[in-house]
Amino acid sequence: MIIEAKKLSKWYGQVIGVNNLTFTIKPGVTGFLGPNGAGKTTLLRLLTGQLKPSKGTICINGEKIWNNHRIMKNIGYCPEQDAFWNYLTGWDFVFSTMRMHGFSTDEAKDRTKEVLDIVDMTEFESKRIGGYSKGMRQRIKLAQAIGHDPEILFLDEPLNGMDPIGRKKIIDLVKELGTKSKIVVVSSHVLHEVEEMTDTILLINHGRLLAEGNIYEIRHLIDTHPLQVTIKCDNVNVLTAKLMEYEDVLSVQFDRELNQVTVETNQPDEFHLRIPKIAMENKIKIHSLWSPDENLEAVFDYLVR
Amino acid sequence: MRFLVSFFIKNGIHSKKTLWMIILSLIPVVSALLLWLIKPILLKEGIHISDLFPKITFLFFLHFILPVISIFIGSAVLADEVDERTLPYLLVRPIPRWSITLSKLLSAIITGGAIILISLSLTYTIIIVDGGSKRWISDLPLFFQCFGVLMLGLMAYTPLFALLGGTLKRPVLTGLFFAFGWESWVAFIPTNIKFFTVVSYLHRLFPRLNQARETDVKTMILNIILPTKQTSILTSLLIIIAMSAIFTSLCLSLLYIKEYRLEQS
Repeated sequence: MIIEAKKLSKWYGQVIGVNNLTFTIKPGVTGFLGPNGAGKTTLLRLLTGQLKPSKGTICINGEKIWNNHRIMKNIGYCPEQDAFWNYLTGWDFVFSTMRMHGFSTDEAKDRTKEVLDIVDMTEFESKRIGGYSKGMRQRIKLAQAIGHDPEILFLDEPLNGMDPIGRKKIIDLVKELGTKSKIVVVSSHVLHEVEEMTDTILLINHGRLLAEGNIYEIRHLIDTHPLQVTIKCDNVNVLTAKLMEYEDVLSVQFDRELNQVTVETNQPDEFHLRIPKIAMENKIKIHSLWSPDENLEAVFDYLVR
Repeated sequence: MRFLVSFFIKNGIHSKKTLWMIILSLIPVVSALLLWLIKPILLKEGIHISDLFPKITFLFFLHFILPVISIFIGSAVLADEVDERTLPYLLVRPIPRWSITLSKLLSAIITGGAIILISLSLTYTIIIVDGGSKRWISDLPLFFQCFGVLMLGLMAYTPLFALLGGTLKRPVLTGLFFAFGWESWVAFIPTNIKFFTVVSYLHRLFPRLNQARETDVKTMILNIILPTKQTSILTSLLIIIAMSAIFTSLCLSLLYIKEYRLEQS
């Protein structure tokens, strides 16, 4: 399996979504890295045949993707948008998507059971998706994407809104799929997240490809810029106090109303490893953790310059 | 495709629009009940309510329930998945795009047809029961004829409004304007312009209506002043089928031609 884009452009009227991209994606995990609005989602929609290129070509194994439903047998897609048929239960949702993939009722049942187990959603399978937390919704989206065991998997911001344990699980799963000669494309605006899954990246900003290849070179650049991390938890005061004890924490801002704390650190690796430990030792329940992309934007500005 | 149709029917059942359709479809039933209640007054005027079934069906179903249901379920065929941002889950499956649209159209027609059937059956039972059980059975062909015309209408209107839903930003408003503006007025103008409406062909197929209208003095005078051709019942039937096929084909090709840019969260 190989994905090839040649001089690929997509524009909507005057707005450019992606601009003259040429790249090749081979089996393994590849990260699409760029700030919000960079063109990652547009690119993934082009790769999954939801959008038609305005110019250039995009092919999977030499076959064009737009209006080619046969190729979809080998594709799994986890969209960024938090949209579902909310009245369905988690089981119904995954089962329905498996049936749409052409599996018989029995096969679809088996696959649904298996994949719900993989994403740790068996316990909540009978609950309506409308009542799921953000993390659960992310996991059920992932389940529909991997249930048919696709050769190519596209994940658009799969770690958004997930708790640390859920993130770890998804990261491990992505890495595992990447070792099975499958193509896994993960988009994210958080360098740290992508770094944990792969060292092969496509760096995108304003619809253009800024860099392609090894993440460590980019990582070196970003190290000079502090990383901002926002944590939502049930005990902001204790977490803030604990975080301030560390030297790499440059600033801390907390919001009691929103129960969240925003930290600036110049050692993101150590910081991310430290969070679960602090949470466990102090019995703090972490609801979500994310990095606003302002820092990444700064690195992109730096790269463009 | 069978799974897709049943999946979309389930989706439709859970939509608020369907609930509103069901509530709206009770209007003729309530009207029939009111007629039943004032039955003695009507009898004094020599009117048997059991004779009113075709008129009620014409007025309430053909000119109100049918267009309203078609507009709401038709315009939602493509627009719902775009508005709810669930379209990607369908597009990334190994199923042809025409199959998605056709399944959605079929499920819309089945859902709309079921709502109409229930409402029409209740209305029929209330109205015809006045004539006794024999009348109830003897008028069944009339009931099925009326239902058949309504189903033909649904098959023509649903893909037409689905087309509007897939291309326009305010399909319901445009649909209402079309159904209660163009269709309602032009169909009654005794010139050839009425052939540009769907409902004029449905009128031609409607049982016990043609006879009455042809002997109507006003219509006869208008026909002399503004001569108009009448299509035969067979021609009308064929035109309705052709219209349904054309609207459906255009609707099926829409997903091939048009790409939908969903809002990002």
